[in-house]
Amino acid sequence: MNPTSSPTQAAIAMMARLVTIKSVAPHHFQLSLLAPAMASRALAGQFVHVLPRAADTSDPFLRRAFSIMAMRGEEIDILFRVEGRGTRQLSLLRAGDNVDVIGPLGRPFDVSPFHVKQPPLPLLVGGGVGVPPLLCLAGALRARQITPLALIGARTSNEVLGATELASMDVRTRLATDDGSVGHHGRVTDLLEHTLHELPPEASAVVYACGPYPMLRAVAQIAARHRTLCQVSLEENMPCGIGVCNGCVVAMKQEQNKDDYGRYRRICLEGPALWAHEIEWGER
Amino acid sequence: MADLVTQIGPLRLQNPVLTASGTFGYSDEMAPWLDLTRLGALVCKTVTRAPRAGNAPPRTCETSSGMLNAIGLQNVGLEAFRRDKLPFLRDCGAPLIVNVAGETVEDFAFLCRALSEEDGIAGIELNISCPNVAHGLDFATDPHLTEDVVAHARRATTLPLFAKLSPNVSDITLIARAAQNGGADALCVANTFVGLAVDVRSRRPRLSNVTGGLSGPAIKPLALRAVWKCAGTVSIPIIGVGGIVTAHDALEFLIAGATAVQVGTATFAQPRAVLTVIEGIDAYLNENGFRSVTDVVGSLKLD
Repeated sequence: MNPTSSPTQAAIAMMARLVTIKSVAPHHFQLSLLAPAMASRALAGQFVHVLPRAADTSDPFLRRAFSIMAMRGEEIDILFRVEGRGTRQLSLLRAGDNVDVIGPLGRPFDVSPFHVKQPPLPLLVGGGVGVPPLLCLAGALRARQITPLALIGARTSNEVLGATELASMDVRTRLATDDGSVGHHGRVTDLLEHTLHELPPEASAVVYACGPYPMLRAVAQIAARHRTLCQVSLEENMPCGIGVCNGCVVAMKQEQNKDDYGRYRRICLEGPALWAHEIEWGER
Repeated sequence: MADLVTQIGPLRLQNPVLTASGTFGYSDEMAPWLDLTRLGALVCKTVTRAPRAGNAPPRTCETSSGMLNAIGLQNVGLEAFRRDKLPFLRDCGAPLIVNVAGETVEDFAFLCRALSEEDGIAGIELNISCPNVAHGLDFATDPHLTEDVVAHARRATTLPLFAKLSPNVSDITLIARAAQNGGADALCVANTFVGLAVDVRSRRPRLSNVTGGLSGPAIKPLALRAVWKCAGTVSIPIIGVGGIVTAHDALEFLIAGATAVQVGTATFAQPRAVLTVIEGIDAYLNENGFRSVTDVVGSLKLD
């Protein structure tokens, strides 16, 4: 990893017209933005940074980062849950409004494990509102004739995200809900443990995960126990999104510190997709 | 076109708008976003003698019209700065001000001496006011320490020297006068205001460092008042900084007595904010019949 590399070279800032906005689950909104230059260059795992206010106002001041859920022609889709003032503001937008967006930003999912004759099985593990970047990845893999298996977790049945999209891509999906209202009654990490356990000895898998920090830490532990490569997409308060504020950092394991650049990496620039075994997982 | 040329002590700049330290990286990350040759000057992220890993996350949280940060002066240290960062910075087309911080007077003097040996550095800004590191606040909260550290830095370099003051004091004019006595060419007024945010669900602070520095539009009136007080106290130029987003924000600082301004947190929301400020100042001067930006500096009407 080169901490000074700058994938933001390809990012642009623009006013994107909001094509559609719809509520896809309680408190969850999906937005489609007309952003041809972003849609054409974005890669699965990258994100956009959206200003949740009008230009002549000052609150809430900072942009909000959202993983790209899909690139469809000239549009990009994002999906978020209303958590605070910024997402509340964005949920009130109407079709036709202009949205100040920067992107695509960040390091995409590393799909180099599939550059082989007998590619491993991609296991997409999504929890809650962490599902959208995995839908983007599923699309990218399907375009290369690779069929992943998706494991999706949610609190309850009407908060399960992406099931329709995955079905339309012919991606097999297993569900888990905290209340057992659909699929496995328990955690998505149970499904991962079970899936890796059932994997034939001659088969190999690569895990791609996005979700709450405790889930990702558990996914990383399960993948490590099964000697399976695992990449996670991380989240952190992210003021600038372009690598200058050093706010959105994650601690890396000691052996990753080869130079004067210390133990922290910027999630916006060196992430958000990172190899789980390089991360120093802590209590969050 | 109004004349934007600005003189900060011995330093002559094409316009009065600088970047604020810690909000512009070492400029390589910003180069794709704006033409760096248009900046008045570029103040890069703080450099310390040894590399600093910085604080554990979470390092930032948003607050009303602003944000708290406790990055902890994460930086690559002097050696890697000279090796990896300076080559790009000195050729980026903007006058380069290197912001330095130390834990001791000797640290500051050492950094000033080392940087004076390098080509392509237009000036040094002494960060004697970072709120997020142990001892960081000590210098700029005490007039004697301030005068001492500035005087040591002054003897260590002939480069233009700015002292970046803390607003977290009862009377900033005492510190301003001390920095002037120590030999600073200009004062940067000010740094972030120390603040706290609490997550009521967990009843924990939102930052791992517990407290952090407040920046953004929320602090503009506070910083503006500090600039106005300092401008009435010292004879050296003041660089105003704190919550500047628009040209009108910058003009408030100039009218209150700042010779130049720095744009900081605004860059996080709009990477091109500093250019918007430069263009807006030019437009204001033209619309209001001012030939030079110097005509508005300190023009606050109080009668």
